[in-house]
Amino acid sequence: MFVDFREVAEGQQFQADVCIAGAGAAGITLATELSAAGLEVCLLESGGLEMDADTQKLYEAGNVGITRLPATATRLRFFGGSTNHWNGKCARLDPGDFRERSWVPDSGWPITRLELDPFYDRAQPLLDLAPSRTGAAVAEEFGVPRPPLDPSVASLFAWQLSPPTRFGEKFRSQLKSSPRAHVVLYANVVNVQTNASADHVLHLDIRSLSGRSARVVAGAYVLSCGGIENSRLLLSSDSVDARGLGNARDLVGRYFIEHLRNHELIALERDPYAIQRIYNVYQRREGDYLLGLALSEQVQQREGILNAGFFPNFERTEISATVTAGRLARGLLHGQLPDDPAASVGRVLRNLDEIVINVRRKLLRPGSNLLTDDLSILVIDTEQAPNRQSRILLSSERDALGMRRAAVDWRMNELDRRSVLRALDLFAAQLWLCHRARIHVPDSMDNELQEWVQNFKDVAHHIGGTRMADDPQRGVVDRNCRVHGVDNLFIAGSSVFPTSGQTNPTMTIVALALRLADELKRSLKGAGRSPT
Amino acid sequence: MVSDVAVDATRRRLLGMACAAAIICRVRPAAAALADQAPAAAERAALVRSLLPDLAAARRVGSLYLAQSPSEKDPAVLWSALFGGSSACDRAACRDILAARITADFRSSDVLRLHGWVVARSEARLCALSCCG
Repeated sequence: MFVDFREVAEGQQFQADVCIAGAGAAGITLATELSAAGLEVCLLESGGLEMDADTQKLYEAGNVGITRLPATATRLRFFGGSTNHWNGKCARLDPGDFRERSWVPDSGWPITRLELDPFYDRAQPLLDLAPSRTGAAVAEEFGVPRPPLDPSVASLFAWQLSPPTRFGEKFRSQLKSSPRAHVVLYANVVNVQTNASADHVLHLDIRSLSGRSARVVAGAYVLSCGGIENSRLLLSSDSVDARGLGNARDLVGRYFIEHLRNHELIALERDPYAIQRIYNVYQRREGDYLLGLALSEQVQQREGILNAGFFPNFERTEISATVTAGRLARGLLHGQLPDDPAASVGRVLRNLDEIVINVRRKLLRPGSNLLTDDLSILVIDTEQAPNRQSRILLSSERDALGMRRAAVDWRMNELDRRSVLRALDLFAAQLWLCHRARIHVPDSMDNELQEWVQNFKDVAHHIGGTRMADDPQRGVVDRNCRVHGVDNLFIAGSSVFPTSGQTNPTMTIVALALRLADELKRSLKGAGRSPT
Repeated sequence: MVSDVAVDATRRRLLGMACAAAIICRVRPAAAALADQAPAAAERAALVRSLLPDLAAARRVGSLYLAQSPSEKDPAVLWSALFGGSSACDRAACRDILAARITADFRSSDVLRLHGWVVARSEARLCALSCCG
């Protein structure tokens, strides 16, 4: 059932077994799981079913650090959240990402990859992904020649490409028809109210931009508002403790990290297709794979660096002359000429060799992506080191609801810089050995840290701020995503990741949400509520 | 996500620029014995020049390397690092040795970035030798 909060009678109180704040990938996953299990769920969404400018403005945030983070453009504040514009790249974190690494201060999750694997398996269909495969298995399936990589340095890595799934669209009808799911649109959580000892949430205060306000009372509460907003809401909920909720140890908002991505890497090869012939997109009916490279755990330990992945800019097929030829042919069949026919014909004639190669490739290896006779542009994604100084704070400015805006102090350190540079060296060496490919990186990569940070932009992977740890001195939530010291408050989303690995976070967000859903089903059943 | 890559040069144009060509030694297998005597400076310089397709570009790369590794400014040190105790002055033999060294550098990831290009240390040393002649 969907409710427009702006049209609800003033002073109404909502009640549920579980109240979930934020209808993105995590919130929608939780709501569908819990309502299907028979629990009464209230899912609060700040926006409506479509984007509107006034609600989106609530995301405006300040930047304190030297690196600019466009917090409004990288997030979407309406039903479905940022899955409304993500590009669908998915992968599981590596087993080593969960381990404590002596060379990475504050690393280590309280759970293992093995514990998360069953939830990754359940996340696959939610994200419309093909079966999980190793890079080697994808190469074998599509007949891709295996490069003679040094396995102690790097190996083939397969990312999976979601269509990408728009969670708002995919699960809307399921939630609408569920008698136990109540989705409240245009409802902004402005305060998490606890008892006087701040160890139990009593209710959430919600408010609309039109000025309506109400309370939501539930047995358990989940904040799934996104990597920045989860911290902002805890820090803003300061009516009992001025430091904010769950922040007795000054950890809320800290350890905020991103992936360090640079996509200005050029490969020159003696064979112009050597890179693309292997590192490319491979399509099958159930979903696509992207083949790239990932560092081995062994080399990370040996070199004392962070994890990193290396992959082609897989959206560049659009500039292939083969695509141009296809468009020309289709247009001529329908009596239409392209906007710039001379340029299109010239491009086709100049690249007949590429077209012949692609036709042959499509015949011999169905599912293989097109090659393009242009520069091979590569991308590196590097894990960022957990960094206590990198954090989300509250600004003195207030939004239209009267809440203090977030201020982001995103920082990088020497371990980040050393890791990116060494990972580039390692990948480049492997590409030379395997393909005689020569890699060029921007000159600015060799700058000192203060200028070096400008090589990286926000890639919308907002991680940390409410990190997970068994020890309350080291984390905001425990292994079950429960806020330390607050018995009925949970956090879902990438803000709980202690480390980021090199892969995009969405798949892990969904897997952790499924795990939290199971935990809530168990704990609420034990508390006398009876999920069917 | 990454469609805004601001590179308008085609592969062929970039290759035409050949900014990296100088640091890519063209190494071909050849069989030749090493000479017993250390080559004279002039002989060594001629040999190094013959191994580099673009001397001016190589000198630019070499000077960058020497700025990073000032302890290697001595040509004898560079020669020794490239060709060991052997006093090779035969071009074909030098090519063989260089090819092996470059491959070994990449295998051990002994690489560095000069003008943005990731090169093997031995390639950089060869370029540096061209600055010392």
